[in-house]
Amino acid sequence: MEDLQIKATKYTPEIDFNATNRVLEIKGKSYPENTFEYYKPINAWVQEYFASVDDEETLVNLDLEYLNSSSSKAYFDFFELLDLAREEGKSVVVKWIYDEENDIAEETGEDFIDDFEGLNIELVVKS
Amino acid sequence: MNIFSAGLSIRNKIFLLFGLMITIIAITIFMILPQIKETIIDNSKKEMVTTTKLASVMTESLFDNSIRNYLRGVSESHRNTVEYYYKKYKDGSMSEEEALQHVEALLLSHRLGKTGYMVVEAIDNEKLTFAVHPKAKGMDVTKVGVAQQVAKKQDGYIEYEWKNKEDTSTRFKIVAISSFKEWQMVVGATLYKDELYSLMDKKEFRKSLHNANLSEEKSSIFTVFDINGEVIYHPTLHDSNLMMLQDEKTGRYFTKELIEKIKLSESDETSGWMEYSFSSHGIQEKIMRYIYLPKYQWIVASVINKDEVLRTYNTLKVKLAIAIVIMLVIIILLAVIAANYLNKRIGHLIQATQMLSNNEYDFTLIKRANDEIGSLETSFDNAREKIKVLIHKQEDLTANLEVKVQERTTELQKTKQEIEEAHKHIKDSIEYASLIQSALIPDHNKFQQYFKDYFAIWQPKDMVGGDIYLFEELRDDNECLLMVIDCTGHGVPGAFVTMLVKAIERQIVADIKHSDDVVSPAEILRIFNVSMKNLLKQEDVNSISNAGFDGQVVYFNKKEKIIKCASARNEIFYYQDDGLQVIKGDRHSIGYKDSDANYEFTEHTIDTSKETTLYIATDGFWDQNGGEKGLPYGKKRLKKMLENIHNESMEKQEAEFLAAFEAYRDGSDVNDDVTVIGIKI
Repeated sequence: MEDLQIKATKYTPEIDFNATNRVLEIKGKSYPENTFEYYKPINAWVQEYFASVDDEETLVNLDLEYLNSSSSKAYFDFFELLDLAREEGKSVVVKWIYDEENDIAEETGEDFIDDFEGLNIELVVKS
Repeated sequence: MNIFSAGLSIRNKIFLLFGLMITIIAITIFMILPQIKETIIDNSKKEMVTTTKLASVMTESLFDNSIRNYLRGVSESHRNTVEYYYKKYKDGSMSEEEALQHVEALLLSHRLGKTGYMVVEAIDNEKLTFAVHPKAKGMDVTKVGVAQQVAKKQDGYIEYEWKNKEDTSTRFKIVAISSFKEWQMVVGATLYKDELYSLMDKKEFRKSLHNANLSEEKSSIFTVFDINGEVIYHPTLHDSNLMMLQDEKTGRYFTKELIEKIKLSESDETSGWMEYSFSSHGIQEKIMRYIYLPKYQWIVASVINKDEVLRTYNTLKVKLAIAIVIMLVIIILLAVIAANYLNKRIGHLIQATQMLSNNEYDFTLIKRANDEIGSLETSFDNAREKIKVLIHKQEDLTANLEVKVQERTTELQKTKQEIEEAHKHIKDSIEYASLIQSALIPDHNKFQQYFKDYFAIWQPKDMVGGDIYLFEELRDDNECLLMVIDCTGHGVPGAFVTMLVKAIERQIVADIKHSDDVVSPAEILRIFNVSMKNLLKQEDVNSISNAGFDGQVVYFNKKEKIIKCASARNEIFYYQDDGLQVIKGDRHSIGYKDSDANYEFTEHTIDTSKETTLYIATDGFWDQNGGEKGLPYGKKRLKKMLENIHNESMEKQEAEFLAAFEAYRDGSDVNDDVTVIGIKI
């Protein structure tokens, strides 16, 4: 499976999905105009990816400074895909990385933990 | 060389080169000249040696011949005298004895020069029977070697050396003999060679020497003089003595000096050189080659003007000088021609180059010769042709380009105008839309009826926005409804959703007004949720629209001193004397596809019998990026600000909110629409 790499823009984060190492990384801010359209291919890749992997662990590093409301919803969809994969028996570890001063990101991470109790989501504070 | 020639033109370089060549040739010639001079002098001297030797041999031979002829004549005439007396004896007029006595007397009386004399010998069977000799009259000369030779030879000459008692050294003598068979006699005439000169015919001798023409050069003379300086032969001086001749410059007696030198010399074969100056057509440096002839005590000499010797050399020098001058002229001429030629050739190239740099390409540089410059001309012309083609292409392209640029510019201007028109149209539309949206914003006069104090910040990111706040009076003067709604997105789509929200809200308010039911904000949110989903057909899985909102609904009953509120997502902050309270919104948005139509929102109640300050806002405020790290403003920072300002007047608080927002943003783009409402009860 081919890797997915999208460079960061002013409105979108850097995406670096490595299928070989099984490390999916997203880093930056997200407030595109057409959020759902933008995340459609990314979520599609994730679906395809989990269809192809075996039970080896996949690490998901999310370092998202800012999500607008529609991006939050897009990431909710993303987490649902992860949760679905987990339910199918894939091993998924999510690291929610945020700056110690960024309480919005922290809260978002906590909300995802609440929403996806079955997922292994770890909060990682950057100082 | 490079340093010297760097500033010189090619012409001058050629001149310099040719000049160097001439200089080298001239230096070479002048270096060889002394050797040439020496060789010429050597040759002349060798010639003089030969000439002098020849002259001496000639002189000797001529003189010998003269002596012999003279002596033979004498001896033969005396022999005739002897014959005369023999005939006298034979015809009987004299006895033999008388006849012999006459012969003896006659011959003894005869003298030759100073010391010469006649001798007679009569020999019979090699025995001397008769002898006549002036010094030893009748002596027996059989023991004398010469007498023996004479007796044996009978006719001819005998040369010998003889030393008289009075002489210091031997002298050369010669005897000529003639035989007279009848008496078996030999008649001889003998003489010292050096004495003969006075006897001989000098004129004849000189003539024969002169005819020998021994002097080849004009200035050279040939001379013979004796050991006493007496001239024997000289082309101009006759019967003179050279002894007193003086060197014109030094005054020395050079002939005397020479003779003394010869006298002192022990060798008989003496020859050598002498130099002196003497006047003949002006004072001349002379070179003399001399040979001493001891037999006659003569000196044979050749004399030549030194100038004569050097004439060949001087002529050569003049010829060389002329040759160099001619060479110089020719070389300078050649240099000028070569330089002009090169200059002309290079001139064409320079001219061509200048034309090129003046952007003139329409000419042809002709190849003028089949040489290196010719190759340069050819390749230059090829380059020129290529440049010309390139320039023409370039010009065509430029011209084309200009036309294209003009066309594009026109197109672009047209497009720009169209876009500007479209933009103006859209802007006008949106501006009008914003007027419409502004009409939705509640009349603040009504706020004053319900709240002690209040502020309302409503700042859409663009002209219209997705944020809206609503205020409604309900069934009496005590009930009112305050809502802050953050619809999906911002701008025009957000604004559309706000219109929808307003429409639903009007319906809900109308329903409330027509019923006596207790007002429930949670129920209001539920109705919004269901209505939105219905209106946007978001129950349908295939629907492409996915819009909704987050927001707070606050119901205030002044009479009952109560606030009831519910929230989708966003917090409700309020201050009472026991400090800041935060009501977290339900984590459920309104109207979205994945929103649950059956979701029951949580309702919260606040007792407002105490002074209460309540704030509701959209995430546009706390999500705004800024600060050092570009992070969202955050709820912690908001709470901290509220702690600081909640006791201030609402006007002041509004200002603090705005100031905090701008200070944190610090020029960064505004992310989203911002709405903050504060009320004091």
